[in-house]
Amino acid sequence: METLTLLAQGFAVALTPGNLIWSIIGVTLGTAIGVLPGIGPATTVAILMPLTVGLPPVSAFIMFAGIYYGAQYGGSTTSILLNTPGEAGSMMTAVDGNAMARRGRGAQALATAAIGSFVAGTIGTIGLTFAAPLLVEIALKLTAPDYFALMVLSLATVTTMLSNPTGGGSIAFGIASLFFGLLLGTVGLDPQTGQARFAFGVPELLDGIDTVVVAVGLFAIGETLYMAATDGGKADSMHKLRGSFWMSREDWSRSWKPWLRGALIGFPIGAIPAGGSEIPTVLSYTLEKKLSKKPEEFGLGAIEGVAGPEAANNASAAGALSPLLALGLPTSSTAAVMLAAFQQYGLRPGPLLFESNSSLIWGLIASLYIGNVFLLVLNLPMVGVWVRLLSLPKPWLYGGILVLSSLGVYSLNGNAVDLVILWIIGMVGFIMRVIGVPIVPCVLGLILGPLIEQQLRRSLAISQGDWTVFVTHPVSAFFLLVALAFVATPIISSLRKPKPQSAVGMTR
Amino acid sequence: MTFTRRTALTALAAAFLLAVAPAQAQTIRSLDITVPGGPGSGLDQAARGIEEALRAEGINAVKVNNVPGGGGMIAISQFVTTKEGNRNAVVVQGAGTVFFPLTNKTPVTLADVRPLARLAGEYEVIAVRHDSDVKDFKDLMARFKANPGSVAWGGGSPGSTENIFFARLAKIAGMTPKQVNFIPHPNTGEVVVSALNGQATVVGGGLQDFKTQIEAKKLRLLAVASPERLPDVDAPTLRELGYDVVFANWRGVSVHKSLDDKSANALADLFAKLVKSAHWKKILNDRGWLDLYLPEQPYQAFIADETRQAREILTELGLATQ
Repeated sequence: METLTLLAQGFAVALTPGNLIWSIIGVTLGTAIGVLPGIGPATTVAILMPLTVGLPPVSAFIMFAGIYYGAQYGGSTTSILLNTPGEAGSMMTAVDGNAMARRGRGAQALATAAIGSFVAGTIGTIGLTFAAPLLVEIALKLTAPDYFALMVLSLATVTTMLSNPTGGGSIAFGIASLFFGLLLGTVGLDPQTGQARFAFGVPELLDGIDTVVVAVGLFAIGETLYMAATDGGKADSMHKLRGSFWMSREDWSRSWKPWLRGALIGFPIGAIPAGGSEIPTVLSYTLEKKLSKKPEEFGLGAIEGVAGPEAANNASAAGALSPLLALGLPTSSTAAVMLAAFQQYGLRPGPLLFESNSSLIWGLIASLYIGNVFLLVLNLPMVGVWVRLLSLPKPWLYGGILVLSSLGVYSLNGNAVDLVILWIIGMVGFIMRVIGVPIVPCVLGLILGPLIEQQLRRSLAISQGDWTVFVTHPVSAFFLLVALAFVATPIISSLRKPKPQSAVGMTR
Repeated sequence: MTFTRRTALTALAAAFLLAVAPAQAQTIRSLDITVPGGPGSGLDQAARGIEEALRAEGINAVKVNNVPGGGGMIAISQFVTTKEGNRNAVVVQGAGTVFFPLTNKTPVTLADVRPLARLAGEYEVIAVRHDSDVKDFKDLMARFKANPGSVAWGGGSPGSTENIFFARLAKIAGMTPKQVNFIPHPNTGEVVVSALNGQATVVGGGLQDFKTQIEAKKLRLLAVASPERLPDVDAPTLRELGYDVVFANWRGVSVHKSLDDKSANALADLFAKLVKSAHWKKILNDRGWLDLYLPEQPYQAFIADETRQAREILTELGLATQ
């Protein structure tokens, strides 16, 4: 009850005309930087920070929060239309979103992403309002073995994505792709000792290979080269726009559950420190594929494959604000910049700020609800505009994708070595596409490999080499059991099936 | 091809600057700050602070350029190749920038620029969870001596300030740096989490990283690594406890080696003036930084000293390359 009163006071702050304008500026700017691959919300807020000195803190934070939420919305646009994920969290959206766009259903993919983002963003914000302190309290109880087990579970779910959706190739190709990703993940500084691995004296490789560079290389560059090589000569438009732009009754009925499930996965994982946005999107995608009546459509344009991960991504963004606001812990680069912005005003987020400066905190939370509404209003009409991109002649579109991807990757860190890596990975992606190797396992291996390694080694360092910590911690044991079931079920069922057949063979 | 063209262009630009410069050599009207780190990182915050304070002094043309990666050495290397003769360019550096080249072979080090001034920083502090059964610093060291592996020391990345700081404590305690069970973390948020959930017995970092939790009675300070007690901080210094360690996570600025003394001094004067400005003092106060200003000569001596000590420790840890 008290929370509702405080929230109402927050709305009173956020709904003043001045603050509404800052919110609109924030979400518009956020959407724009989300659409451009490369420049993220952290950089944008950092650039704006010294310029906002004269503003009252609450207005500045309303704008920053708008940028943060807006960037999550914008990120799906390039993934769906151009197969160019601008950040790791929108990678899973690219898989089925772009497949939908190719089948002339780009508008529906964008719509389910935008509405799903709104639904999940709002659920996440509600979670932030009412459950943040409690959730963070629980999340803090998770230790390295638990994180390790959660990441092993995510890796186990990758096994459902090993086969190539477009046909051809074998499970062996999927496993090879996964291990190639894990190999790429070992490049850079050893997380426990800080020694260089596979850097070959190139300082740019010391930080490892950026996930976004690999994702853009494999998805955008590899795929575009393949398309251009196979049918690039024809100058007609890439994707015919078919029928209505609006989602059909079937689209709605296939979307709403994934939105809710995505939000329920995304928010808590986003709220745990080091949870991130990649793991919830991967888990949501796998879950939707498992639950779907048409799992064979996944990879070829299943709307659930867009609705779920996109919702998970946005809810995790709301979740990631929880440790910052509830405890003052920056657990992502954007949160670190926001923390710096608080400090610019001599404020320190945390439980004390809720008491000492409640109108600021609650105004900020209220603005998240309002920002979400603005984002929906801003993004839905844009769907019609964005999909027109797809009616460009193919050579223009292909050229545009290659330029935009290269530009985006360069703007990540502003160094040319990333471009070289991008194009090498792009060529690898092209070859993978030609011989039918699925690319998703590779990117997931790259994301999960270093996380698993760090948590495994941290667990063992703390336990002084005692491996039993993974089974004596209940949360860890639970996740590992689920992961085991995930991997074992298909093996056991495939072992059972051939038996009668071989028996028949024997009698013959 | 492009490289020679770029070099030629830089040379041309430098020549042009030299030709017009004498008329206005002494006044700095713009500043180009290279930051070896991404937005939100410690060095980035220092650069944004400088930007803010300079704006308050009426110098509005301040550009902050984030160059993350390679332990800061990509930024240093970019600074060395592109800012030759640039009288309005500085690069920010900190303790990490000194330590990194010691653990990894890098094409450049801080020796390739001209350190100009140390500006601000924070002394390292040691904290435990509030209800930890570690009573005080003496108790911590007693446990460490009795069973070194059982004390998990949480801090930043491998080879970071904390890694070296803890190793020095171990040496003074008569143990070896290798006996420290150091648990590295990618960011300070995770260090705090490790302290709160008890997976790290003890954590190190800047006071500002822990202050919220200390005020909320979730963390408890054991000691501070400052020369004297810090104002409003209820914790003994390590010196008082018989451990002669003063350790700070500091930030400073350097200029390009090609600058003549006159141009370098103009920038040095700018920073000497900056650290006295009211706005800079307000920034320090707001962010919990301490004024650790040192002019050029003592700053360079300080860096040499830090490098020597860190190399010694890292060699014992088996992490040093050169």
